[in-house]
Amino acid sequence: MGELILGIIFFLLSLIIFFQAGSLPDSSYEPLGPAGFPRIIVLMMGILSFFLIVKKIRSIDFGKINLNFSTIYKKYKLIFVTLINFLFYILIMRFIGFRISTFLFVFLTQLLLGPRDKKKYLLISTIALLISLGSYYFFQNYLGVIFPTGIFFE
Amino acid sequence: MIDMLILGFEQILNFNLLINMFLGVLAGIIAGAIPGFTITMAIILTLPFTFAMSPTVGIATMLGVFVGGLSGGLITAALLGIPGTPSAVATTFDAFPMVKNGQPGRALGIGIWASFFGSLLSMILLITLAPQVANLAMKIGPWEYFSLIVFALTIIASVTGDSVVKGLLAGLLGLLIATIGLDPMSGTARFTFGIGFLEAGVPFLTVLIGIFAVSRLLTELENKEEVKQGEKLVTGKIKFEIFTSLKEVLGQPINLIRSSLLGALIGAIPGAGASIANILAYDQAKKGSKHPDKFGTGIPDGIIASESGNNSTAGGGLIPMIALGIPGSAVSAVMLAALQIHGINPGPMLIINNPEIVGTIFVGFFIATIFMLLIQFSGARLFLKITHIPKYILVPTVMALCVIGSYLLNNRYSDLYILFVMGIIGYFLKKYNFSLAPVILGVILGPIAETNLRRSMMTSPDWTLFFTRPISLGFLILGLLSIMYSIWQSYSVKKKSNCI
Repeated sequence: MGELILGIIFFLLSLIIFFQAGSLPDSSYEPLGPAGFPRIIVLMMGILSFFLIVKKIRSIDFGKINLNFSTIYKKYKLIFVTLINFLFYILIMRFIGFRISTFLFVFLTQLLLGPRDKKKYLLISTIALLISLGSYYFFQNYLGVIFPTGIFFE
Repeated sequence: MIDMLILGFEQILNFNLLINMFLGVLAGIIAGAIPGFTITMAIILTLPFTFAMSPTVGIATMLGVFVGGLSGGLITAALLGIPGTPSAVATTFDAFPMVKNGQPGRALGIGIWASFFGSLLSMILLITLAPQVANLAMKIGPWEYFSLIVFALTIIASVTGDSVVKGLLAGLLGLLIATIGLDPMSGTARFTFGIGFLEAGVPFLTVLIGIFAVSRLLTELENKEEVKQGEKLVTGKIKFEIFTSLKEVLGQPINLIRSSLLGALIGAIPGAGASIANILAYDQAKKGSKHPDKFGTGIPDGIIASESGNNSTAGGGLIPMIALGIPGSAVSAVMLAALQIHGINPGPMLIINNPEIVGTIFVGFFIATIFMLLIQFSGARLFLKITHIPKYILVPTVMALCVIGSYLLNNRYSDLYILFVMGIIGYFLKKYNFSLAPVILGVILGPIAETNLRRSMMTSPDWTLFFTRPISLGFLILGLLSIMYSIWQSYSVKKKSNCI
């Protein structure tokens, strides 16, 4: 089922890009222009994804498909949790800065993924602290990388 | 030639130089192991330090970083399945399955020895073949370049995994991702859909980190119960036997020599490099193998091909630099810059005017390779401990490192959004058995292919030139043979498995 969905996504993507490429300007001194190469790519992509879709539709037993969100969520819970944390980490970094957001991400994700064991709290907070502060000072001082500092350190 | 080598030894046997070189190799290995931190970046960061050094010490230190960096990517590629540098992508194909089979020591050992011999063989080629290969590289125009890339793209057909259609789709996706942003020829913004930061394009390294690293880390979390109980990548005792892995590597001389030759040749062609060489060497090893169906399951052949292929680009890349003063890669471009800062003019006259520099490069290359071997082996037991870290600690920590790696590439915050999206795309592709290597090949080769195709069409709209220029035709024929061979090979493997 997933392969069928991906096939459809590939197909739609090739259609969108093909028509988008039509709006790109032509070039008078260059035969291919900016649209030529992408169009060659999506043409092949469209044909191949069509093959994939047809092949998968034939082989799937649609009666057996179970699209119950809560079972999918339960099965892949840790992945969902990690991805949501990851997204928040990226989104809030520019507001609260690299150090705090990295600490929060590494600490909370370890906490949510790992065993419920209070003895581990010291270990995971040390790791989070090392990663967030260690990398910040190393890259900032030695390599001149400027990380977002955030509102608390401005 | 002998005089030059003696001169080189005289220069190298200097305590200050050796210490700097050792530190260079160490820094290179560490940089290479961090995803997102490329060898080129490490070399650029070394450049300011070399201002205060003499030209020979500066060049030797940079060589150290270069050789170290090429072998550093191996550590994370083998032990975590995450290529530390683009040049270690193919190393993950067999080294990580070997780690999962409970043999991390064997995977690392084979990788280190293959890197060592790849480096060594390319040094011999560098010394003997420099002028000849450089001449061939000079004959390459946009037609030949495009045909070479077409040939390289045909590798996709043999790294497709279980389905050729899905593998090709993944490759096309990579090519398409590379077209996002400003068009390389006319500067028109393409497929940005009104999102401002996409105009800068999608950085290749961010795609690599997202597609390979983030998706790999998410896959590790699929078994909820085991992660909760503190499961590790490898359970049980780790064995690390230096000489057993040496025997395994030397037991495959043809694979080793073929991969190193390929690596050196690709290294010598300006613009190509280790990121293509490792995959090409892996592909050729698979095609030349008696048991191609075993590739990807954790066999030494794949690790040997990829690691000797990528390390040997170092020697190859130096060939046009020494013989013609043309950088074969970004790394040798920085080295050329370092020479120029010291008032030395690289070019065909370098061998005559500054034999001590050329000698230092030849001998320094050898010494750097020895240092690399020493550091890798003494650090190996420490590196191997990574596989004993519980996944609930490993995943968030490496993810944070991925964020740092993607950010420090351009100091650009918006790259992190791209990283997130690429991670999700990579995860779904992986989940539904789309092979990931073609995406990376597409992203690397796409812009080179497009620019050269358009450049050649601008020079002359006559497309038959692709077939009438001999080198170009040669590459196209190789590409055709490569596709036909992969189809034949997969057909015969299927037939064999049907018989059993």
